Amino acid sequence: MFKRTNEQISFFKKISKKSIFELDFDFWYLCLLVGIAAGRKEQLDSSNDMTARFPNDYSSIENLLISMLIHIELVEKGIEPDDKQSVRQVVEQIIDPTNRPFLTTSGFKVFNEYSNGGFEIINEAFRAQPPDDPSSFLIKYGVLVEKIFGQSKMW
Amino acid sequence: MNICLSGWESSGLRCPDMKIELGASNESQIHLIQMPNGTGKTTTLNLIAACLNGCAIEWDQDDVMKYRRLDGTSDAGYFLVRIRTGDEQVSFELNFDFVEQKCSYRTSIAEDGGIRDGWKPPHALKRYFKKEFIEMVVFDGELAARLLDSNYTQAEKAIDALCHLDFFDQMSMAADSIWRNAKLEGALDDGQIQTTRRQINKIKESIDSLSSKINKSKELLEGFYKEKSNLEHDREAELNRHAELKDKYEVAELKVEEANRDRERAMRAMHLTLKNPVSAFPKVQYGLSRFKEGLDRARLPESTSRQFFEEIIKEEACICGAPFNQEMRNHVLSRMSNYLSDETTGVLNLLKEAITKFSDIDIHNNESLEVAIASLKQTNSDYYNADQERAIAKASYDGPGAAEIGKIEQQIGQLMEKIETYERVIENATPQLAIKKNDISKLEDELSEALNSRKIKDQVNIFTSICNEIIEMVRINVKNELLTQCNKDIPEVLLDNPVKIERISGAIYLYNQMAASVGQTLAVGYVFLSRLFSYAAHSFPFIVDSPVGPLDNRVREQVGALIPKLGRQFVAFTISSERVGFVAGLEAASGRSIQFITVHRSFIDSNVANIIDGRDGFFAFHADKEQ
Repeated sequence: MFKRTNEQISFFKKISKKSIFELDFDFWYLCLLVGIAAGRKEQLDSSNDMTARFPNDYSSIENLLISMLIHIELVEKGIEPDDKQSVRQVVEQIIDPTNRPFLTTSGFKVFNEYSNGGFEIINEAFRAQPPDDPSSFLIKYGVLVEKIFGQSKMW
Repeated sequence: MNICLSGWESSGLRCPDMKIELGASNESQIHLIQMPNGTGKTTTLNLIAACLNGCAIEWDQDDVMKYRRLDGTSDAGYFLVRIRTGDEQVSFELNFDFVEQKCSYRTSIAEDGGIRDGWKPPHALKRYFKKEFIEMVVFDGELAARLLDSNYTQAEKAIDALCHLDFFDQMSMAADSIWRNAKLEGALDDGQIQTTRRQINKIKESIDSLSSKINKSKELLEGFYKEKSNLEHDREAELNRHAELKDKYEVAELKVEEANRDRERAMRAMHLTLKNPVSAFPKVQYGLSRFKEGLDRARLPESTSRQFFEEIIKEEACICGAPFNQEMRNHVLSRMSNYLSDETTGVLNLLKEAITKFSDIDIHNNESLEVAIASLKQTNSDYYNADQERAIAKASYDGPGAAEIGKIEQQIGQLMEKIETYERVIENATPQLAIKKNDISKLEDELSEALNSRKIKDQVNIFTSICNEIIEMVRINVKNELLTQCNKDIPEVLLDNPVKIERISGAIYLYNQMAASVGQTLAVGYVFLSRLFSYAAHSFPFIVDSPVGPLDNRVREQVGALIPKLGRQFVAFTISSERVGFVAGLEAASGRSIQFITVHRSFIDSNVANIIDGRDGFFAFHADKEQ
């Protein structure tokens, strides 16, 4: 299950369901990008279920996102992609081949932790001031995520 | 069912090795076992009792070692008791290991097919083979006297044991433990129930208050929306009356709308870009490509897969070396689904496909995210400019209709503030309401469980009370019955000087007890036990150590005379000094023969018993010492 924290809900409340942000998942995803860019995971201290599947809008990139997750986990653990045994272990931890979205409980957990890690970075960047305008938020976000990817040692 | 002691044997223990066979049920029912002091009489009786009640299961090492030979010459031993239950032979064997300092049982019941490990009395009789009951089967002569001793409650204990009244205590305790477990699991007492009720009421009040606040806010908002709509309508009407003003407003509005649309478009474009991270961030493409290359080098996934075939047919030649033509390629594609591929393989291939697909983008010409950000910044700025221009345009116009429009817009502005305020009220109150409803639901569940547990407590109390009533009722009824019957039996036993039981209250109380002789009181004790045992579904023997112990010869004769009248197997362990009087009374009253057995330690090997059967041997033993 994809989850978000109470803090995330509260932070994005004013721009949620406004303009282009029709789905709660939109914010989860934006936080995930930042988290994966920075290679930062944070455990969730509260938990609100969102959805068990990638929404339709994201179905075309779901395998790409899972690839990114596996890649970042390998980098974080210092595993080379050609280390067959170690890669297999990580893959088996994250992937459940029997059902879409092909994620184990552990896989969902890691995804949520990267999203939460990304949220923490966003929260810090916004100085804990929740955004009240979608476009202003998106501009500031875009600059932030570009910067983080630019500085990232994980990619 | 008639239950009789058939015999016993012992080996390697403190008492000398022996094997004793008692007569069959149609023969003598009275068995006198003469064992001088030091022959292990007490040991033998204790072990008979242990075999019958299974108490050795709880023995510790000291208890076990008490039965080792004094000279320590045996490392192991056993004691075996045989009983007859109806026509069935049952034996209990208690094995001792003095090296390990432990003991164990074996039981043999013919109908169960032989010997089994453990103490396993016949199922139908199991409730009789308990310590409290066997104490009334295997006992010393003082028990009969204690029944009439007011310092003891032996009589009542005997009734309880026979009627298994401990069963009701056990049921009562089991019911109580259910309540206590419920209490440990969080059941509440009265005070806590009241506190929980108060908490629930308080939360209900909060819920009512929040609900009322939300509903009131909604009502007000409805009014405000309507009012705003009317004002906007009025503004439109006013605008329509003043063409110039309308044109100006419309132009400004159109600009704002257009700017907003552009802004929206820019936002969507940027959002779309972000949803393609390979396109948005070149590092992602590089990273995923390296990841895929690594998987390829590691030959992951391992199994044959679609990927494998698709890569093969891209080659000039097959892996066998044959050059590919299109027909061959088509053939491979059509048949590749016949080959196995595990599910993880399938997913890994999907991931690699996704990476490949998204990597077919020329990243060097891609500036989509930067462009998107720049575009959004521009359109956002344009929007705010248009909005500002609109405000300026509205503010600067002072022609016809401006004042009215201005006023209407001011009212709309004020309304918007109110609308925002009450929308915020609803927004804040709604999650609070959800939390309160959740809290109250939990408390109500807790209360319901507590009330249910309370119900359990009440039921347990009723149940315990019923058990106690039953115990009292049984005791009273049995005592009354016993009293009546014993008072009928006593004159049969004590022909010359019968006594009468006044009451049974802990002990047996006789009328004018102080005047009753020792022999009379002992006789009453035996009559009581015999009558009590007659209520049992089965007939049990009495196995008694020194049945007449310290009594004088005349009383011994009286007691001896009453034994045959008890009508059950009687096994008495005596010493030579107890023969006089007792045996005479026994022989005089017994219509059947008495089995006489004398057991003493062999002079050659004191660990072995010498067994003398018969009356002559019985009376000859230690006869010189009596002279």
